[in-house]
Amino acid sequence: MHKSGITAALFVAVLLLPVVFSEPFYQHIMIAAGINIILAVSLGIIVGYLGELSLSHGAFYGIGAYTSALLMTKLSLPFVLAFPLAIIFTGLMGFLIGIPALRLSGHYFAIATLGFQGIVILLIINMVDLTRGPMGLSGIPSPGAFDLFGITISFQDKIPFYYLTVAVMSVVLLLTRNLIGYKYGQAFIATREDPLLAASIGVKPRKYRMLAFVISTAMAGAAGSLYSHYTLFISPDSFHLGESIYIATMVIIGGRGTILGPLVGAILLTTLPEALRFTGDLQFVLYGLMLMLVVVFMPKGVIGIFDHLKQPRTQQNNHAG
Amino acid sequence: MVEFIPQLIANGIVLGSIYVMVALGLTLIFGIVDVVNFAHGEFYMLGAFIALMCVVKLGIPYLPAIVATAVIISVFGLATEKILIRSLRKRNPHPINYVLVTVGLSSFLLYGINFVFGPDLRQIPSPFMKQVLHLGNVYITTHRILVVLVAAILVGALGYFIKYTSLGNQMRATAQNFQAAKIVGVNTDRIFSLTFLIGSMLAGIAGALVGAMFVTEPTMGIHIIVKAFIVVIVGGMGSIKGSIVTGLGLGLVETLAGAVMPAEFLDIIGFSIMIIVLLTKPTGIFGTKGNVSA
Repeated sequence: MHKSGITAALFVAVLLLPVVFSEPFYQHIMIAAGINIILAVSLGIIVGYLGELSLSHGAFYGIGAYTSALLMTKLSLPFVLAFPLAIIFTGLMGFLIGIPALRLSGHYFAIATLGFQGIVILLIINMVDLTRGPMGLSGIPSPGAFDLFGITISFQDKIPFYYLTVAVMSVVLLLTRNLIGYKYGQAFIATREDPLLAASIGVKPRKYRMLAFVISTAMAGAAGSLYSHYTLFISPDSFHLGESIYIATMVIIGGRGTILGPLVGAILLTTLPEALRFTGDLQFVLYGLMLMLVVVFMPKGVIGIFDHLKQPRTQQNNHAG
Repeated sequence: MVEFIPQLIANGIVLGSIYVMVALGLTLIFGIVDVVNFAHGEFYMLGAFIALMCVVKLGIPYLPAIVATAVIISVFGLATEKILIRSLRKRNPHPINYVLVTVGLSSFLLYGINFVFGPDLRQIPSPFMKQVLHLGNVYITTHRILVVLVAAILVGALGYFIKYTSLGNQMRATAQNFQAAKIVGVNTDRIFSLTFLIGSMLAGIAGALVGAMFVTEPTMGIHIIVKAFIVVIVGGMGSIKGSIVTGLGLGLVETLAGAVMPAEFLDIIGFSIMIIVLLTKPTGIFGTKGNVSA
């Protein structure tokens, strides 16, 4: 009860954010943070629960963005159709790539996904007729406006788009919690810790690994669709290997193996450069440094600090119970 | 078309020699330290920038500048192992943690150099670039001959070192069985450091050579590491012979096929072959897991 109270309070705070910070600049950062949270939490499923590092999350993000944008521009589908179709198509790609990739583990998985990342970007760059190659796709429509009690809500405005992002983000968070919270979560952890033992008690490692991979990549597709209909312009530059590494950095710095970790990591890495007024690529120097330090000295990430503070209290609770 | 083939083969051997130098370091580090060094390409990039600074800022002639680069980049490689890789080995040695820290190092170096020098394309002035030799149908600069020569000398020296010296034997022992090597008194920490030193040096020298032939710029490491992965996976992680054969082979295939199809398709094919090899024979064509074979 206590915990759900905190969650409810946080959720109200999240809904009030764009009202409190009304400058478009802040609202832009909030939308970017929402999209990054979807990306980081979804990659967190692969990193934290499969124990594998995928270096192709940026490519799936791109597949979602391009699919959604092309469905709206070329086939003039409405957003309500393009959005779910982009998610399904990205998930399908995740499934196809998962078939070979999930047979590998450790650094081989990382290298194979690096290869897929390269192939996807090369395809986007070279299928010029469809994607306009390195020039990028422009003129992407934003999600259609609708009437709400006589008021026209347009997603070209930042506040409606923020609420749309929050809605998708909430679904992603709930789904992830349900996925890893109950039976599946135990199965994931069992497979990660000891695939052989897990198999011997009836957990099918391949099935669970595939399920997690497809759901994770489909979520990246959702983030991609949101991104393309928010910025209204996409190019291969937004989805290259650097983006995959950036998303992985959010997960690791926040703390892997939890949902809160990637969430905190995404917020940190979205707001930090603004707060510190970093110019250009200097932030990536800092992220590189943080990544090295966190992996070596703080394997639980930023939220590991809170873990540390909380520990004595939980022990007391245990005694009381 | 046919009359260009000798020229293409010559170019292919030059490109292949570069791939061999870079891939050798990557494969040694993987075979012995069991680390896939995602920052390996950045050592190559750093090599080019160090050589550039030596020649342009300090006025050192090109050849001694390569030697200076080799020394400096060796220190970098040594420091990386002693500070970063070793701390991780003592604390949290999961394969993906090594990937993560070396990805972090790669990002740090790439964007750091980009911040200091900017993304401009530069070239290390080499006196050998201006001398063009004409051998039959083949036009080749002395610099390209230098690249092949240096690669051949380094490969020969490395082969000799690993096969016939005490330290080389210790390296092979560590690769074959880390625990057993430790038991018979091999200082494995020292061997790991030495391996990183040698691997980084090879990459740095390759960078110093390429930086004079093509361009020196911050993202050059990203382009080469991808090729090096293809070479090392296909040739077999840890196999020296595999890196030499596959490196030269990839250089030749790329140059020959590049005459008839766009380079992007070659990259797609390269990635696809790498993934197929990973799935069907993860140890590669010449590799036996955990074995450094000369």
